[in-house]
Amino acid sequence: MKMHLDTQHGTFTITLNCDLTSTTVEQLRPELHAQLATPANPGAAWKLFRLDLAATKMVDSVGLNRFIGLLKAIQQRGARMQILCANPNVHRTFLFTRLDQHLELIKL
Amino acid sequence: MSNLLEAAPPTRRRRVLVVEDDAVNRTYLRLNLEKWGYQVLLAQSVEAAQHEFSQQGRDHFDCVISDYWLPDQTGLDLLRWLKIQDSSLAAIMLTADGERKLITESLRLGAVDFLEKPVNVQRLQAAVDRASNQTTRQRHMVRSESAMENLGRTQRWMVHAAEKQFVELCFHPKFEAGGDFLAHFQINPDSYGCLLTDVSGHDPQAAYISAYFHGIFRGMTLRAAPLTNIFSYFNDFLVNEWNQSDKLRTTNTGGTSVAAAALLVDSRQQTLSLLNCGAPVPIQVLPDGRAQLLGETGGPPLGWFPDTEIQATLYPISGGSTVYLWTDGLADLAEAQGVHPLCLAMALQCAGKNAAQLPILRRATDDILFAAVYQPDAGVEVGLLQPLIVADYPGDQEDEIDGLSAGWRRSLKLALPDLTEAAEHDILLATRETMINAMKHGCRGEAHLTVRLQVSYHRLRHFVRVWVEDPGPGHEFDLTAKAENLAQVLTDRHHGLIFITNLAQHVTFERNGATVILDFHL
Repeated sequence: MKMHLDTQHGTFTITLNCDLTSTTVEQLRPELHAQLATPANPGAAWKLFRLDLAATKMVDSVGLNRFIGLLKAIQQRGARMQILCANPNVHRTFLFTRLDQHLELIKL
Repeated sequence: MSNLLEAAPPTRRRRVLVVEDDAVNRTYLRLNLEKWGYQVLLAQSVEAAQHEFSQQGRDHFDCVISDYWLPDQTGLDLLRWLKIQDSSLAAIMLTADGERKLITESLRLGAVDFLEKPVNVQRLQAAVDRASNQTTRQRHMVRSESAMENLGRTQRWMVHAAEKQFVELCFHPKFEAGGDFLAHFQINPDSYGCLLTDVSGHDPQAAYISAYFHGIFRGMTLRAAPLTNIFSYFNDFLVNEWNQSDKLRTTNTGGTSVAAAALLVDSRQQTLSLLNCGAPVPIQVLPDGRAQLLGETGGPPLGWFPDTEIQATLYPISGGSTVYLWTDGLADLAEAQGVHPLCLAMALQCAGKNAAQLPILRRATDDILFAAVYQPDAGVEVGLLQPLIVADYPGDQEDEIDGLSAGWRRSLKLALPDLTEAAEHDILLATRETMINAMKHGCRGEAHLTVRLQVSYHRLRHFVRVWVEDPGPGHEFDLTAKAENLAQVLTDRHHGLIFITNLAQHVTFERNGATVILDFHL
């Protein structure tokens, strides 16, 4: 998993190089939450949280549920959330779960 | 090679054709060869040699010794002609000038030796012995191969004779002939018998034992002998007679064993009697497409123990159902390749006569036999919903879901190579979601409870149907309300159901959702 903080443009980008599933999300979650919670991370400096799923080919329901927990935390900060995806199956998953109504979904 | 096919050593004098235009050399060669026990025929030219060969016939000579320079043509021309007439016949070329190109060409045309003139008598004797022995070996090999080919052809014919209107099969012996065998025959207008056997070993002896058992089975079945009697009789024969004879054994380990599964189907009584000794557990697919394992494990094969428990089981059967049987060659290859055996069978069926070209089949280490036996019924489409995966998973395997999913992917790609990426994604993800739900809720994560997964493919309508059954009570839910709620509220629950219902084209919940049936149109 790669993480990138672009303070200049107020964007915190996380790039995932794996699927978002029940088995991978448990490994990702502590690091994600640490990034969001740590004072060293200037949360106030970013207004847009971008999750880059360009390399992701599958999102399952447990992965999605965990991700929604993250989404709620970000919303509480008052930041926007943006998802980039390239795989049509992943894009479709965000559509039929209606998550596109809660965040900005961009198909690459 | 089996000791049963080994040829007896030659009892006649060996014959040499000497082709030499120089009278002194001719005599020198003849006298020496006769002294060593050879019968010698002489020719002075290529034409004379060809005439002599044609007169005596193929297989007459054991060796040809030819000078290179002959009056009409060269010794190479003679070798070229002999190679076409009898490729097993070894030759020795004589010449005064040992030119490398000449030697190479002579060897390419089958000459086993090249002697420079004047010929050294010891070298000549060694060369002619070597050439004659090579001819004997080559001829024996050709005869053995020909016998094996004949045996293999006969076996394939006999197996495929079972392939009638209601039997479909794939048969891939590892060598020309082997121990896997299937017979299917009518007993009377209302009933038929079917026997699948897998004899240890891949040699003619295995094919012989298999055919012998089939003959006994057919004869005793037609005279109304019960399955248990037939199997007990053959087990006794193997244990007390065949495996007691050291001369008959071709293996060092425990003698011959026969894994066998027999079916007797009575369509009037609507019953199927199954006896399985050591064969993979057969599957019956009911007219609605659901699979039923016929038994648990096959037990030991025939030939191991004198007191093997031999018990037939009676199952109800209905018109439109299909029984699938296979030998462990299929199961072993599937396991080695990390795919489900029925997917491998489907790939072999689809490849038909080109199956031998499939890379996966080249890795087989055993004979492979797979058969679908249809129970005909008017108005019912028989055998169209072909099972690809039928497996039980313990309820505590949720953490293993990635590995399981990878196995399903490999299997489906093998069975359905034209599956699109989107269809593969939807089938695998929906199956994963349904299996996790069944393990977590239906089995409460407990290892002693199992989830049955079945994946089938409809051969005419081109859809995949997935069944996931858990032993739990299921639970009441309102799917429409849940879907609506998701649109309004950002929730981190219940997405599994939404995945399942959106990925599959059609979803049926039975037993409060303890059984989920998913259809995917391809």
